[in-house]
Amino acid sequence: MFEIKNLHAGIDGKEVIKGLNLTVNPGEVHAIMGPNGSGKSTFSKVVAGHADYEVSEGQVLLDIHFKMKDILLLAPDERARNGVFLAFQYPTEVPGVNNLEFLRASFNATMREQGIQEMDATSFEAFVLKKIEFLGMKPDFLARQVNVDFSGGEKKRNEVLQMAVLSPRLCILDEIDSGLDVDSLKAVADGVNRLRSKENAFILITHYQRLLDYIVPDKVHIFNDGRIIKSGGKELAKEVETLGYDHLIH
Amino acid sequence: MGQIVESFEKVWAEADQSHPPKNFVRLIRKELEFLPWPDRGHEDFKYTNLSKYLNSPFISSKKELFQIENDNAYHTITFINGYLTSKNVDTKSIQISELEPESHFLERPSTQILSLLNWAQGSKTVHIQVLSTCTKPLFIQYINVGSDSQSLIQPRIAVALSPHAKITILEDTLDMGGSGGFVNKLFMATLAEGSELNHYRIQNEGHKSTSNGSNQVEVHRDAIYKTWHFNLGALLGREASQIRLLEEGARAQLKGLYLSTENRQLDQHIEVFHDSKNTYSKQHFKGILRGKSKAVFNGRIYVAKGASGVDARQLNNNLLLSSEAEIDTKPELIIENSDVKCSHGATVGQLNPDQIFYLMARGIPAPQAEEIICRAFAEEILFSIENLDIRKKVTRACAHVLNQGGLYAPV
Repeated sequence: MFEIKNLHAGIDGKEVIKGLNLTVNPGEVHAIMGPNGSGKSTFSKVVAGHADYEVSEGQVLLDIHFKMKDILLLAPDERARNGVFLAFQYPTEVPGVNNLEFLRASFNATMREQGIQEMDATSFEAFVLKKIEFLGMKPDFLARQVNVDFSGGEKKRNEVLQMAVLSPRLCILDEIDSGLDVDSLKAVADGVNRLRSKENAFILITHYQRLLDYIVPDKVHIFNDGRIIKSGGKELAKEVETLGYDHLIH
Repeated sequence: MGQIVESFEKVWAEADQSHPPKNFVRLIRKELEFLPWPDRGHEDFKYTNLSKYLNSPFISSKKELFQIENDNAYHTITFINGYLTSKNVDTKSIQISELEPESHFLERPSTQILSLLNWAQGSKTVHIQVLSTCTKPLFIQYINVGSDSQSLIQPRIAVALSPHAKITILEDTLDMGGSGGFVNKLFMATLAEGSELNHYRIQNEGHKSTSNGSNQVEVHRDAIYKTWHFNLGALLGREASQIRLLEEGARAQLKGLYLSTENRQLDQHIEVFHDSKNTYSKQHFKGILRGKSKAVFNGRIYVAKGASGVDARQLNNNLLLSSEAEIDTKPELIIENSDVKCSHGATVGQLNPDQIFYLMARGIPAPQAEEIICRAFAEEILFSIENLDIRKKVTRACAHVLNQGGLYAPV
């Protein structure tokens, strides 16, 4: 469903991802762990299509209508409409834009792409309220401006809500646990767990084992210097927790 | 550079045939006789080359008559090509008459060149008296049809609010000809003690027109003047306001939005005179500029000698969507007093690429992402419109400009 082949990418002329290979199947949860500066966040930005990052080599293939297509050729919005979702480490504040209207614009853009009838404001609100209830969130999120004056936890939960509304097939969560207290972390993890299905897959980018106590991965990859140096099961995360990255790198 | 008179003498001669000019009009014409078009040395025209737009001989617009369907939510008066053609006002609170041009409607009439040109035509002033509070808004509708590129349209309105009367007035334009010409409107209002005027203006002239709207308001004791300007249309769209706070307790709130696209220019000139102590004013104007367009914000606040306890605020924010767009923003404070609170600020920014990327990462195409962010920028002004029907009208007019990149723009 999702495959990265020999990806080389960087920013400002400096190569950060140096030959990355990764295969993700539907229903799987992968965790990417690694020290600061190992290229984890760059990887997520490159997959989402941020214009500041340049790809010099390789392919990022996604199953679109039963064909593996290189999404590097698509604009960020096209990637999103075809099922790629990046939960931002620092969700952007968009002053003046109502959260509900933003969600509807986003949802309807995806519907248009898939040739499905768009939803009017009333039906969409009912649809979102169900998602909110499903995630155990408060409806007052909807009336607020996108991420403006949201606490760290609220911002991350808003990302999970967007995920629930858009039902993407590949979700990359970039340090969804950063800046969260234990209660917020549990709430966010619980939301993600509810959204897991046989059809979608998750890539969790994290520094810490703690997140993986709540969202249990099928595979763990250790990132260093722009590539995966070791892959394994969830026990690999425990190894990092007790022995540190140095032990794996050297 | 040609003389002003050369462009207008034909129109005046034509007007005089049906309506011999009064002395007042002759005096104004005499004043204009040897004046050249103001050049860049003139503070109000520093960024606007007026002669480029107005240096051709004008002709009078044709009188046209046709039936207009009225919206019952409003009292309506209609001007076609600048001539008052119908009144649909079913209240005794509002009285409308046409008066000979005269100088003494305002205590301190403006001497600005474009206002003088409006007077110089010698046509009658449409006088609107608001005797008591009127709950239904008054809609002043300007319809321009089949205008010639050299036609001159110069309506003139004087509104007088009686003490403690309240009214909402909406001015809007429907340009059906689209062939251009010069529209030079003059709107005057005097607000007697304790009265309140909510004044909405939509400048929505055709893309080839040159438009000037002069707006002169005198506010007396404890009266409140609130205005919202939407400067949207025309090749050159100029809105010039002079607000005089003449007596204690007088207040003015001015908000505005200008959306400039392609090669157009939209100017806002605001002068607020705090002539008396304990008078208050607030201005907030926002602009969005696209293409090679230009805009000017020139906001001046005067605080007269002895006018203590004044509170005057001014803010201008601009969003430039293209590197070729140009904004000249020039706030000015002229204060002859120490016991005042005055503030002014101006910002010029571009679209935030992080915001655009965030919306795109959620599947929203770039042009729609841009539109959503522009709309949010504009909504700060749009949401302050108190009358919901007017808010809808204005929002529609703004969306038209934002979505299509300009009226009559090639697709």
